[in-house]
Amino acid sequence: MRFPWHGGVHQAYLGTVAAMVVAFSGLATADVEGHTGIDQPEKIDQVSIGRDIYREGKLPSGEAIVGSSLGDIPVSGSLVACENCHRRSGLGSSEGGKVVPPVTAQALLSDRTHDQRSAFRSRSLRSTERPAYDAEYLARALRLGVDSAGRTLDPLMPRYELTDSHVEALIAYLRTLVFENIPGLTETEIHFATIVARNSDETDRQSMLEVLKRFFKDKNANTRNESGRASRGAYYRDFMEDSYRAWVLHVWELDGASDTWRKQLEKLYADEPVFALVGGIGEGSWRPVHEFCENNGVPCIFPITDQPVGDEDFYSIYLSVGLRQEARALAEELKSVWESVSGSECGGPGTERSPRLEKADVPLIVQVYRRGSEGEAMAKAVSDGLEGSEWPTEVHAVESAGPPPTQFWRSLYAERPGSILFVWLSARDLVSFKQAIPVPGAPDRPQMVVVSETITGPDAFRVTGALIPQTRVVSKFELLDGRNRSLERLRAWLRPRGIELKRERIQADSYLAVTLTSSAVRHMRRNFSREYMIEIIEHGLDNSVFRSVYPRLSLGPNQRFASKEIYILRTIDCDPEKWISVDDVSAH
Amino acid sequence: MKKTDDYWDSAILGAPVPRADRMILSGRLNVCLFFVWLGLSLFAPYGILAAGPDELPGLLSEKHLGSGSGVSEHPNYTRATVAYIVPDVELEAHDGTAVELASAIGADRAVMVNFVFTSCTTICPVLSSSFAEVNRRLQSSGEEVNLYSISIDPDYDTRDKISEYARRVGAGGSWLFLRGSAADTFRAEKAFDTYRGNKMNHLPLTFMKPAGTDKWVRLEGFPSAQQILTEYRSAGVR
Repeated sequence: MRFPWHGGVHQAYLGTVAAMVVAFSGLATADVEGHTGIDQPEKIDQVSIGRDIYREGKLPSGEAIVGSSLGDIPVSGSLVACENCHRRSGLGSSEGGKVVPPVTAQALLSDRTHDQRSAFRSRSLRSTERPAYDAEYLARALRLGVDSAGRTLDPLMPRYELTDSHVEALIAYLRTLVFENIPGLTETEIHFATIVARNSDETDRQSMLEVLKRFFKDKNANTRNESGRASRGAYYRDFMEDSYRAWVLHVWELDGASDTWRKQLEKLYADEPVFALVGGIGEGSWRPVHEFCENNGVPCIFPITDQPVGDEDFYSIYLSVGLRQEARALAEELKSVWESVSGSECGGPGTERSPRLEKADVPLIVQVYRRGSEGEAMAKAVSDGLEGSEWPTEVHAVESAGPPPTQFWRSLYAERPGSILFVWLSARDLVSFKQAIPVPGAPDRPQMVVVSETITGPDAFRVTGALIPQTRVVSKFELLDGRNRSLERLRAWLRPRGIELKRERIQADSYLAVTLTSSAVRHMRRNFSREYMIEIIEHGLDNSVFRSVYPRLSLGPNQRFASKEIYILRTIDCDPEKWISVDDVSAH
Repeated sequence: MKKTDDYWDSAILGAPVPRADRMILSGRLNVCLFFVWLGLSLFAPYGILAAGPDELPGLLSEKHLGSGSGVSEHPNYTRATVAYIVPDVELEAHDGTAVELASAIGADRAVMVNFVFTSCTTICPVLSSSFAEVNRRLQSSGEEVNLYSISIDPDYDTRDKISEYARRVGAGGSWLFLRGSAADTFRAEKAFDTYRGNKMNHLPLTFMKPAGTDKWVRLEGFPSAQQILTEYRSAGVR
């Protein structure tokens, strides 16, 4: 026989075990094996009323829920919606030393005792035992802050003004928070998929797969006889060990442009349901994958994409912001202050920061990109960002199969003398760029060249040749020194496995995605809730020592971009090896 | 323990010694170390206290001073009086104005400060609701106190984010939300001994002081609005 608290010995009511909380490991957990789906149509309305109360703090009348906290502080609406603390999974969380208990129907509507394990637990846990809640008890707890055993709840838990019918609707909704028949989960296996779109670079694809496959292999090596312990482990540890599953990786290969992916994904998912997507790589907008994940409730953990969707949805978490945010940061910088570049030739007078340019001085911005590439998305985002500003822009699309020849650049300079060039091209497309640069002092020499490390790669710091002093590199990655230090951790993992470091970002991102997934699965224990998995990553990412190629990783509840920093870099003293940030520019 | 003793023995003697002797030496060594420890713990605090609370740097908070600095326990919060050195950083307010922190909350200002972040789900909504209520009561009683809520999530909490949050919780007028660069934010946090690395570990803290002093009342926990006001009003008296 199983009891609901088997997976939840950590769970304890607010305030009782505050000191137990150590960020990642202290998450309140609870085993949920409810058998309480909704099958009656008339209940559905109840559920949606309950959902509005739980998730948005909104009553059926459209008004905000109201209540009070800490005795005399009025609170209302979404700030104190149940979901805030108890989270979307209903499994609770912890913050600043406060443990928020689970409130799923399975947790609330059953007794909580600690009989079997009492010999191994502190006696103080007795004080957290309580009978099952029913509608009446729950109403009392919500209105007066008295739990089903008659004890006062933590003052942090607001006391709400809710009617009996509101409480019943809430219970109807809590009954839907069940985690059974989860796709991709069997008694012995947990299935993941990763997306490999064929429009991405072959070496990139292989680099990602190599890391993922090797991690899965190590994971399943059964070095500590995990599968044996899971089937016949010690009873007092079964809540830790029987959640063990072998990991299975499916590689979902997608053909064609990104707008055709959605259909392919739905078919792949129908054929082979998975618990979550890990990593993933492909050129073009990530929106089809994002929407697939959102609609099917599948966690989509740290795909390698430069065109992520915004942070308003739940199931997709991204490692870094995309080109759209890079473009916005660049546009913001242009709009506020831009450096004067006059006289900044090497050996000439130093570059100085000048106030906003006069209208007559504003040079033309010429954006060059390859049709159908990531660069096109960047150019469009920059144009959008500069709309309504004094900066005139025009775009040139490269359509030829090969890189644009020297003549392309010469005629561009001649037609648009003294302009600012935004070059959103790959390193391969920039091979002849250096040869066409007009001599210093020539009237057609561009005033400034802006490239993106995301699009051009590490060559962004070299590719502009004699124009390096006039070059600005937009980058969302850690500056090189720090990046190398961070990558040591990856090297230490790759080396003994005989894997060569070929594509730093791809391999580092893949490694981070899969290690964080592993950490989340371990902390979920028996609570195989996909929402809970995401909540654990949100909660624990800041503790990750490895940060891939990014300066800082940080998430919080409902945050969806782990690295938000964007730099605009320039050389120091015309030294192509030394780059500094023009300014710290925030992503938003 | 054994390993440590062996280490000390060989470090001092430079050669292995018979086991029985080693035991004795270890015992003597332990006694010596005990007296060193006793001496340090008895006299070291005087070295710190001699500087006087007013001269203490910001990081040296009340916990180093023991109960002498006025730490007191209440059922739902702990109170301490601490002198902080406010760092000279420029932060950005939710209404777009630049705020020099050291002068905004300096010695001649009557202020209350808390540290929050907009995506925080459990503690901050209550801290913010608490400031909203305290602000309302201060205004109705005509007391001029400036309230500042400083974001501890500089990457996510942009100007737009704190403006939107300020609107949701009803800030404005004498209550501003502030943000800054990562470096400045962490400096401010460290100055008030609130920095805990991962922002999810942050503590529920409310700081307050009347004008004319740099001694702050630090409340850790969840005081009610009335308790905050009572603490503030008696802060200058104690």
